[in-house]
Amino acid sequence: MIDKDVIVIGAGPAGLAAADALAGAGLAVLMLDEQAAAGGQVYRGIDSSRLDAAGVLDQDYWTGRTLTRAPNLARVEIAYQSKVWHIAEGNQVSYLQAGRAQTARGKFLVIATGARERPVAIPGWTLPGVMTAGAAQILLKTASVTADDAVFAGSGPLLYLIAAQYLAAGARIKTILDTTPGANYLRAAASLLPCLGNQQLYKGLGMLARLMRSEVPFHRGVTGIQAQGTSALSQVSWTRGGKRHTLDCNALFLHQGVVPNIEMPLAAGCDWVWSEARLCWEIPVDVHGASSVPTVFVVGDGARIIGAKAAVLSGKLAASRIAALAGVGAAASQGEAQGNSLGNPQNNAPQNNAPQNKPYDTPHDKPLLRLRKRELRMRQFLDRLYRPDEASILSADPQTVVCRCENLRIQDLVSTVPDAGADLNFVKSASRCGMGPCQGRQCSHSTALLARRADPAQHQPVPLRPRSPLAPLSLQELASYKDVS
Amino acid sequence: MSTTLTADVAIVGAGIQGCAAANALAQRGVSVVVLEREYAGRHASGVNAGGVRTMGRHLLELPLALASKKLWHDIGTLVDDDCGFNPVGHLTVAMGPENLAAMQVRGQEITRLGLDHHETLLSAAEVHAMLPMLVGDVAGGSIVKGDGFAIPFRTTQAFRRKAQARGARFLEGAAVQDIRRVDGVWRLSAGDTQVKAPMVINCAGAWAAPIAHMLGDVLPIEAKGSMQIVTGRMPPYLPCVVGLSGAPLAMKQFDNGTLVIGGGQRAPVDVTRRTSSLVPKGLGIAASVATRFFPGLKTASIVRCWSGIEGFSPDGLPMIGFGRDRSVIHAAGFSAHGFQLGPAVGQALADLVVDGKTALPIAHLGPERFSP
Repeated sequence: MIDKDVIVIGAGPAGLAAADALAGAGLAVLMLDEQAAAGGQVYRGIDSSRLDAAGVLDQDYWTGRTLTRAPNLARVEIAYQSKVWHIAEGNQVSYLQAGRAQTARGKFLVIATGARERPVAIPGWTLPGVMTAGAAQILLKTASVTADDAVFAGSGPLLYLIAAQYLAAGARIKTILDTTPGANYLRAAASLLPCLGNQQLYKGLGMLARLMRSEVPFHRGVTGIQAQGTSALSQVSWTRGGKRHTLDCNALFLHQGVVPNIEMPLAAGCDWVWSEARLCWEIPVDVHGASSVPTVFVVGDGARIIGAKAAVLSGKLAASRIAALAGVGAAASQGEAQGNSLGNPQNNAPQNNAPQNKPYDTPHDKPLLRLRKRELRMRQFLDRLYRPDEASILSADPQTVVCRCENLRIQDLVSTVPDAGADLNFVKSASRCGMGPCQGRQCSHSTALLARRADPAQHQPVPLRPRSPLAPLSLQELASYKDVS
Repeated sequence: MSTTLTADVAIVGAGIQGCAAANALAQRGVSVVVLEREYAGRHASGVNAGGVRTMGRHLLELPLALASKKLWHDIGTLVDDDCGFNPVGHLTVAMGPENLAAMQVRGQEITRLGLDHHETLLSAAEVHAMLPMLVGDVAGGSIVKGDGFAIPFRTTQAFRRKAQARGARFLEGAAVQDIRRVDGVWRLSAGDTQVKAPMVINCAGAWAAPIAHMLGDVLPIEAKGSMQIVTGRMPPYLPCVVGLSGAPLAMKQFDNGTLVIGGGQRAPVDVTRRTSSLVPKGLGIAASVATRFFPGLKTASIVRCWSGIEGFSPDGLPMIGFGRDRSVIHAAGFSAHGFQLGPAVGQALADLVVDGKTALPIAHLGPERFSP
């Protein structure tokens, strides 16, 4: 059993920033990441990428190197290729490091496992040739591979970013289909004013303008996207301006935003909440990332989608609070720190009975909190603008596959959903939806929408209870735990 | 706004026992209300390993299991659902000569009792012929034809649906908070709902002790967890359910190719929060026994591990029968082997309600054996 002051799970921007600051405060930190190198998703492959000189990925990406090369990381014990598969009470983490059984315990846990792409349940989404735009980006970042004549479809800043990166890498894009609902522009306009000072806004607009001025057909107000083909994708069809359109293609990249990976926070006992504004589950945390479990902090996109810049801030803020609680670092001389969290009573997770104390901020935190507020204002604008059109993330077509692992379509689930009371655990037991290898990662958001569609009064669909292993293990790897205490 | 329901019988708990009892009672025209805190099959009945076996049962429980076996082989007619029941057979491997000797002695006992049940002895060669993937020296084994597995949640829900179709009423999300007797009638309170019935059946599983207490009885039930491991879908590997005598392992492969590995490794449970947790070391032990004797499983991908919350009795045998007052019946303490018994227990409970007695073999399983 490895004993540390803090275990950080995830070496993306939030985890790196937290680990660096914690080590800088003199705490013993173990950081775990399942990849072979740091960077998470947004800075994936940053230390090994061959895209350096090509100017394909923009400056924002390369700033990730200041994180992966941060000065105090040398004092952090970093375990790469480490798959966390179980979290037990007392912040005990079981992980496999390059296949070897390990257990570590931390006085504090910082969960920085980020986000994943939202599932897009449209007809034909499981056909070979249909991928998420994020998967296409990973190929670009790690293997410098692109597909020509692909169709990009969906909504959200990442869709446009990846399309722009593809063009910069010299790939041809057949068409961009934008499903952003027209009504969102008006709704988002109210949140635009506070963002006018934010550079990101202009970068985003500039990128969008470049895409629209390029030769790539860019269609807005698209609905009813369908992927068609027999054994593989051969056509994409959609509705626009009241008419149905069809296009031949062999590669379709879908994207409808990202959603927090809540599995590890739930495994650690944190409360959850369903956000109607962002149509996903989130982990309620305070400004320092403190969750409903006193020693567990959830930072970065893993609590709520906030973006890479805000993720770095959240990592630093969590480190500041943890250092204060541990009695070290800048806050040590300020006396006893009290922290608390936003417990959410309306769920079936264990109730947190901690008293509601006022959070204690060090002077060091003030600039971070200010910057964080700025980022959140930008985030509110983006959230409103890019709130997905529900029919674009869960089609009305009963033949649409929801659970890919168990091959369950909407029509296979409609008999179960009404009895479920929006508890996905019931749907799972009754239909096997979510029992496959992905353990609900590709289907649970779709199932939640299905439950809401069946009963609009259900405002808080209950997510799947996490079940270890949090990532697949082989039986032999599990066997290696027989001697680990 | 409060509701009051009246029935002939109130059942606490919609696990397999409660649902089977509701079904059997409704079939005989008895009005039933089942009060269930969460939903039918939420706990042990819905998450057990799915074993449907008579093999290896304690001799006091075996006759009841044999009666239930007959019902399982007609389950489709019983509840309009085949429940995923597949009688692939159950083979217990005797790891050492002392295990085989015990099997021989048991075989003689079963014959002496005149039971229509055969745990056919197998030589080591015969075991290896049936399980060519088994590696290691074994002494032999025994096999029961007609044993097998079913799908627990599906089965419990099937009994529930059939009971409901016959007129039984199910109140889910209804946690029993208080039970008292007024003028010879039991009143059970669950939130805003009150149920009045002259008879109560306690099928509350791991929570049967507090319910018994409200009914004026003491049931020595301890809640414990038992861990299970399930793989992703695999090509056909196990031809039957396999247990090892002399090593903690029980395995079965379901029709969809997933393989469930159990063996009784204990897990801590919290009855108040109704949660269980896992012990990596115990999972490691189960996994290492499996891979030691079945090395072909080394690379099997583990998708999920879990533990249920089950009620255990001090002698490992269930408590089925009247409480101190004949207006109360208990069916609890099934100690991780109640699933297969469910169909027969349901009928026995209906007999007790309607006739005051049953021909089904529960005579030695009464809760009174624990009374001082």
